[in-house]
Amino acid sequence: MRLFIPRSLLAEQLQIVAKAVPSKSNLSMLEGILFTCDGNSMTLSATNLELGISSTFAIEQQEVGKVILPSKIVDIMRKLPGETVQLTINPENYLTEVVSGQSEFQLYGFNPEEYPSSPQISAQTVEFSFNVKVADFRRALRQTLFCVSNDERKPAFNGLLFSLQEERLTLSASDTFRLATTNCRVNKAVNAGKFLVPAKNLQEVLRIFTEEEETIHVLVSQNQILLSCRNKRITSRLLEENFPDVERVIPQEFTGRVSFDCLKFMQAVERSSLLSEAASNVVRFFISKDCLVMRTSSKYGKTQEKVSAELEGEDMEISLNSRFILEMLKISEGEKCMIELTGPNKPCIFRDSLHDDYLYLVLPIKI
Amino acid sequence: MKERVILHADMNNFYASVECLHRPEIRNNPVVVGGDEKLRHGIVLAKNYAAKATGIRTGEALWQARGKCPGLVIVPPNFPLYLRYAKLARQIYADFTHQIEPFGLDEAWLDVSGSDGVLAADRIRERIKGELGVTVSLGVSYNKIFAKLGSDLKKPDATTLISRENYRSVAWPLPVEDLLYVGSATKKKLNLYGITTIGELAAAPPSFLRRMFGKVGDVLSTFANGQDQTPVMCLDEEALVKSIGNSTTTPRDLLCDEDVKIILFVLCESVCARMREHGFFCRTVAISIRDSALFSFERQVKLETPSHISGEIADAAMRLFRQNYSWAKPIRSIGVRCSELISAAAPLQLSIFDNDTREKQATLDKTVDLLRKRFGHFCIQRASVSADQPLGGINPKGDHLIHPPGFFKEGMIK
Repeated sequence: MRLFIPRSLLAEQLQIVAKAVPSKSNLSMLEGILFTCDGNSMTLSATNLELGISSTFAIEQQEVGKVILPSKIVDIMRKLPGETVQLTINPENYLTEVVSGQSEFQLYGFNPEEYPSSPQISAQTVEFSFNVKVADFRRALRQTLFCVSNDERKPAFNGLLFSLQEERLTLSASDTFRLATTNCRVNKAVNAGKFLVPAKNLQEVLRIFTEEEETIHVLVSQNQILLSCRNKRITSRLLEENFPDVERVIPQEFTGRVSFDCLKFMQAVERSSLLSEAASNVVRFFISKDCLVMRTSSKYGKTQEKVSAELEGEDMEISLNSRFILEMLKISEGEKCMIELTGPNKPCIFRDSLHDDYLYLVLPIKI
Repeated sequence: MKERVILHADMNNFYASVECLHRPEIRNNPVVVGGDEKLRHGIVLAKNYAAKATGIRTGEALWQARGKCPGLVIVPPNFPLYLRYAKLARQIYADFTHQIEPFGLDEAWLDVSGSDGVLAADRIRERIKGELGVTVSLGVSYNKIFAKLGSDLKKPDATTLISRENYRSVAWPLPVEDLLYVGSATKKKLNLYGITTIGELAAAPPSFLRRMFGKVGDVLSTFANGQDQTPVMCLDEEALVKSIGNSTTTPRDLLCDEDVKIILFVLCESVCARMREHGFFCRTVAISIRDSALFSFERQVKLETPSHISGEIADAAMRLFRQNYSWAKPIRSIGVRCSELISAAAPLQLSIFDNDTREKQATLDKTVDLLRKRFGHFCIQRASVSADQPLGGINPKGDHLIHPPGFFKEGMIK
């Protein structure tokens, strides 16, 4: 089999799937990328059995064939000198010649039949399905993913909880110290229920599905989720863990509600955190009628910042981890930010003036 | 700088002397204080001079001691009594100086700079003998190391002066293993290079010692030359605690996870009670296991949240054990150690899901501590622990009061 492909196109497509190639695997063919050419389109696939990414793109009429090439091909393609690249695959032993300009590479390929087939979700196995706008979904992921725990000892909190109900998808993430939930509109939703998706695989959605106007089709089986958008597909295993009941921990009543300018507040917190204790990032907030004072202290010294604010309700003193606040403020889109307070050692809820149904709940630090 | 005057007081045959004082009937026999053989703690903890004369050594098994000395009287240890005597002795020391650094129960350094060391030492000896009825040996010197050497030199009831004038003739001929921090391994290594006395160690080039022993090489050189400068800590300066641990050789070999669970609970309760007493949380829990073939190892795990809740520490220890032991052999002894201690008053990030339960557990633990303080350790026990009497009947917190500290407090070796 012999193929001629524009080099930059192939390089770009390889970058998309390369993230799913495991750096080390017991199955050596997994450390490669599957090339499938069916005449006028080419599909690249990679998987580490937890996450799979594939991308299909149109090419000029070519011979039909398949091969697994080592993932070195990703870097090779970036560096080759020519405009086009010629791949010549020996179907006997999968030895593949890569020629571009004056460069020649010989790669030891693998038998494509040995590659694990990507998980298929058929009409029989599908449990949920829906369509969602890329822009909506990306916004929801940005609002929640940062809150997921990386701690492997808390596997349930390594995932993002999807709750599907009619035309609404709710995403929830927590690391046990804070909780973020948001909604996005979906359509053609089939079934209602919940499932848990590993957060690190969803980072790939943010990376790959970038065309804001497009629509993502989502199919979910008992243990897999398949997200496809135009020519790209991402599959991920689901987490079989129990995510605790989120609704239960969200307080329904408040003792106070304070609102302030988001940017000014963020800058003040950033400055304060320069002198907060490194381990816990404690910033103490003193909230009164028309201003919000924050103080930090550590062995290096003390800070005080004042931000004008409007408080409805009781004065309050509360200590929070500045990292938790800054991570949320950075993704906040509205000009105004609001905190709902429930007591000095009780949760407080941050809200974004632009997204009513976004909720970011943070537990304070007990001093 | 003015020359320091440092005393090292070492109560002679402390446990045995106290026992003999309280039991006139055995005073003239060879006596050893020994652990309980049924509980497999059967070693010689202390001996009197009559027992020493027969060649009995501290640390050997009681059956060996009996073999050396027919008619040997073995008495069980009475730690609270020894503790009382140690406190009484410290009260006497306190009449001479406020700078007292206890080293175990029966030893202490005193800084009496400004007064005549030998005179003070003789007065202390008289008062201890007269008021407590036991004897003490004292070393007088200008540094802690030579003071300790001195107290070992003449026993019982004696004062030895090692001064700048005489240390070459008194301290240097002594065998090198008499020096603090020269244990059997170090001694072997030193002997290999022909260093057998403290004088020879003092003469060895520091660069050579550093190559052989690392940082400790410098320390040994300083010690042998009488150049140690470490101050005598004040009595009320609590040694900086780095970790809190308890271990026990169990009354019988442990055969299954259930046995281990009982012991781990007993140990963790003790360790956690001590952490609570000192106001600590720990971030890391370690377990050490020694099997019936005396093979031992240690494993540790970091906690999600710093804790001193007995249940949480015990769960972490049990999980660690299950991950690391496959029961190829029964277990002889087991230990739990909590490290990376932080103050319990440090700011604590609250968690969304389990605050209530944690708070309740913490309150429960505090209540148990209080009950045990008022009514004794065994007034309240976990059901799983009380189910197995020989195993559950251990009270590590009460039974093991004596923790000889390291000579170096934190940060002293740099």
